[in-house]
Amino acid sequence: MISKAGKVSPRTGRSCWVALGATFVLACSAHCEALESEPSNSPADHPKAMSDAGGPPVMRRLNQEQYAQTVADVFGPDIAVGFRTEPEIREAGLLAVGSSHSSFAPSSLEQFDRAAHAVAIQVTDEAHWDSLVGCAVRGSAVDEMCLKQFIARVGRLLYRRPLTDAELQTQLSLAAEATRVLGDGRSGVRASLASMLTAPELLFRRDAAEPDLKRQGAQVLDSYSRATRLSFLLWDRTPDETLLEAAQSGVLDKPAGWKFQVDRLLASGHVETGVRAFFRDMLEFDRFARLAKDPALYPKFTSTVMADVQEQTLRTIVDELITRGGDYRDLFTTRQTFLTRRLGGLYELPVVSPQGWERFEFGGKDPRGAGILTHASFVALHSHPGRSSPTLRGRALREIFLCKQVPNPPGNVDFNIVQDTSNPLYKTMRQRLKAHASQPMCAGCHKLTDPTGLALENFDTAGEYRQQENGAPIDASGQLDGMNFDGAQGLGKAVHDDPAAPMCLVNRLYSFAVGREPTEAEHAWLAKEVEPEFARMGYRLIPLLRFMVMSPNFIAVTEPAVSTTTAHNEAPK
Amino acid sequence: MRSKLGPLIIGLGCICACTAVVAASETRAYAVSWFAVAGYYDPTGKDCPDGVNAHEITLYRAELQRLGYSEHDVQRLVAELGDYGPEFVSILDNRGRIDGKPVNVFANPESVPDPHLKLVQGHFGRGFNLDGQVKPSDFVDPDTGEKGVDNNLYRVIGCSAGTKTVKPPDRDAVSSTWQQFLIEQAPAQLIEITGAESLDKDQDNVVIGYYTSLDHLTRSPSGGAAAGMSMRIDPNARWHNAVHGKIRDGVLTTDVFEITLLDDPFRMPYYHFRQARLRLRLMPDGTLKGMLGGYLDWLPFYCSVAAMGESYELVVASVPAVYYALKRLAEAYPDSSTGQNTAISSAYEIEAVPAIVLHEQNPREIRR
Repeated sequence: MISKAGKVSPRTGRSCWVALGATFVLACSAHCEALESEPSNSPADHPKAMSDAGGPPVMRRLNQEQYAQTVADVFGPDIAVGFRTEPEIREAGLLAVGSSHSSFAPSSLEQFDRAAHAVAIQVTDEAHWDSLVGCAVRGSAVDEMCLKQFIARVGRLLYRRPLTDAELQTQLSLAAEATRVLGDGRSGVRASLASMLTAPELLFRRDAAEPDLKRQGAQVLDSYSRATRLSFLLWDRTPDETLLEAAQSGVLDKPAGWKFQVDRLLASGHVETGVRAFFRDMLEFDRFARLAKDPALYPKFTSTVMADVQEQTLRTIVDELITRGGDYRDLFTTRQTFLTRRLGGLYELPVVSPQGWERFEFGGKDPRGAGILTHASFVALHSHPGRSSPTLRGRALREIFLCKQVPNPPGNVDFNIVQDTSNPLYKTMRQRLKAHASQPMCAGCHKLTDPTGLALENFDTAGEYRQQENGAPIDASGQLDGMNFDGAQGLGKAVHDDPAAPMCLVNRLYSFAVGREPTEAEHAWLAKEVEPEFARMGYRLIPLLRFMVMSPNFIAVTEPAVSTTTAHNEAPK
Repeated sequence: MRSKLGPLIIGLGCICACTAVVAASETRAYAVSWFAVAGYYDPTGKDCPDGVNAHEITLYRAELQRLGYSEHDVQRLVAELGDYGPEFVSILDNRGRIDGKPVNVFANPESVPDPHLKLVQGHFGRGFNLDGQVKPSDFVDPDTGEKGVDNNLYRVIGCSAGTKTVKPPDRDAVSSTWQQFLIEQAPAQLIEITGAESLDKDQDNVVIGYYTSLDHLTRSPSGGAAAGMSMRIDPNARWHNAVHGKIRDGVLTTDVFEITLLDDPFRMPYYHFRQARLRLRLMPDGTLKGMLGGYLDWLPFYCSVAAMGESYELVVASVPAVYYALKRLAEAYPDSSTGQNTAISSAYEIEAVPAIVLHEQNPREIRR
């Protein structure tokens, strides 16, 4: 994997690992406690809260979905794009941040090359030529002026900015040479298209900066880069013609023009796509591609159900945050969700419609109605193939929703007690974990994760509700940062009321938007200005998005970071 | 469906009632995942001492000879069997004769002479003593020891390849094939059991609802029926059946009742049992296993055989032979004008998985 320059925050747990080295194992307990006591995103840590601080520019690779969507946006949905790149890299809790620190493996570039040629062949075939290319073909030659206009038009959409004269000339020369060699003008167009479809200008979103006219010596994103950042944040897709036109005309540089475009994008139905992309990333749904459950023990957890559990959570989020404009924190307590028949089978809930999705509301006393933490997309994703894991769940909850670091276990831990679900002495996971965590080297970290995760023990590793394990009643009492509660509903309420939850969302959303961790100054701004504003807005997502993108910070740029690091995959849990 | 919340609810009830004894009613619902004629695997071979009925080449060769084809033509046509050529199919399908003209034998089974199907002659057969009598020809149920068991439907199909009971846990080819219809396209059968108290206890006042669903089963990853799925009851009251029962040692038995269930037209148009009864064991794993017995209208059963036509004759036996046997062995409910018995004693093996039954009036009401 090619690594790129990137900045790693000193708050990152992994860097602590490296620093501590071999002494970490012995110091595990103390380290966990130290991490726990470290204030997270506390304004007190940051001396200033600047709304125009900005951060270093980044270059982010497109993911598969974004590439395919770009092709669909430019050429239409009937142009098939089939390829698979290597897994993305998660950093600071987001693939969006990892995308700034990684390139493509040679094998992925081959995939892009193959996909690009397949797209180019489709665009230039008989069925699409007139509507997509539209240039007259005389003999073996394509009308030169028309071809120039076509390349300029398509290139602008693919590169998210107009082609430079040199780029345009390069493409025309390529098309001419291919036409000469292959004796066919369409082949020339095809070669040019394939070239643009594999160009770094398409595959990477590069933050291009220009001087900030309002602040001497400062820099901001240029019009096209800010259009790109805005479009991918709100729609998870390439800027449309209108937005590019606004960038080209200079309208985006004016407050009114920027506001108009922000309002336009937020009012569009595409904003659901953007919100889904953010939460799919934040909730680590990419891990479903590697998730497996023992089919003999959990026959209901099929691949269909696996897709449905992700969609269930995303629908619940979209309904709560967009359709109803609700409070983000209510995601942890909502009794509303959506089900398919298959999901109803998993959860043992009635679903009237034989096909498709239907809204479901849990009864007031139903202990299963406790927000997205009780969805299989959380409890099943953060479990083992054959057993639940309060540790994984507790860790995921802290890291994903509260932005609190939990270190990896040392490599020499004896897991025999927790893995043996047939031991008559330890029938429940709580009993097994208690015995396991009695080992001093484990106790420190487990006390961070387990009291939280144990509150979800009524949900087995597939997300099915249960009240007993091995015939013994399940004790689902739990604790989060000193607050005691019972079961998933209590846990949901605790997360709902935890001030770290909305702050974490603010942090993650901004990181998602800019493709990197916030700088210290941005941290201060997020903590002192954005989060309080989020609270004033009733913790509603769309107003938060508007507030963020309307801030000068959204386009402010500092000097690029010069430190380098090797991008890495997220540590195994 | 057996609720995992049930014990909690019951437990809370007990705590609140303190000294009072609270009897909490319980309902469990199921979708039938296996429904096939109950047979008996006889390792001694005494069930079919004359062997199995002719099918495939043996059957067709005999039929062609009966129709007067020369040995040369018989050889030629039988050689086409592998290709199932149109001439071969046409001749065999239309081997019936009415007024000397060829007619479809499956639609007109009496257009050929009775081929005399070989019948089960063994001592054992599973089912119920439907008529209350113990006759020498009746079976003894090997599971319950019940004597006087009436199951002439098993007697009809039990000595044919494809429907002969095979050594458990394997199952005969036709039942296994029908199982695929049951899962993929037939409307599901739903069973709802409501007791005055926990169904784990012995009790006398149990109500059993047996319905046809608007939905069919969902296939599980292992190929069977998925448990826990929501199923709507067909609003047509014709497919709503109810009966009183009792539970002893985990086994539910019912009073005698009449039951009608819609099925798939390519499988069985409908089931109509009279003097029916159920015997179902509530299994510890939450499933249900048992039997439905009664006098079954035999004509719909024949329709299911006739619908399979050549396929049935390839793997089982002569279709008109089955018709004649059903007609001959039917022993109940004579037609008022012809005197021909319309029903044959039968028993069907039932397996059912937990389900959520949705009632039309209140589809959100969870019946478990």
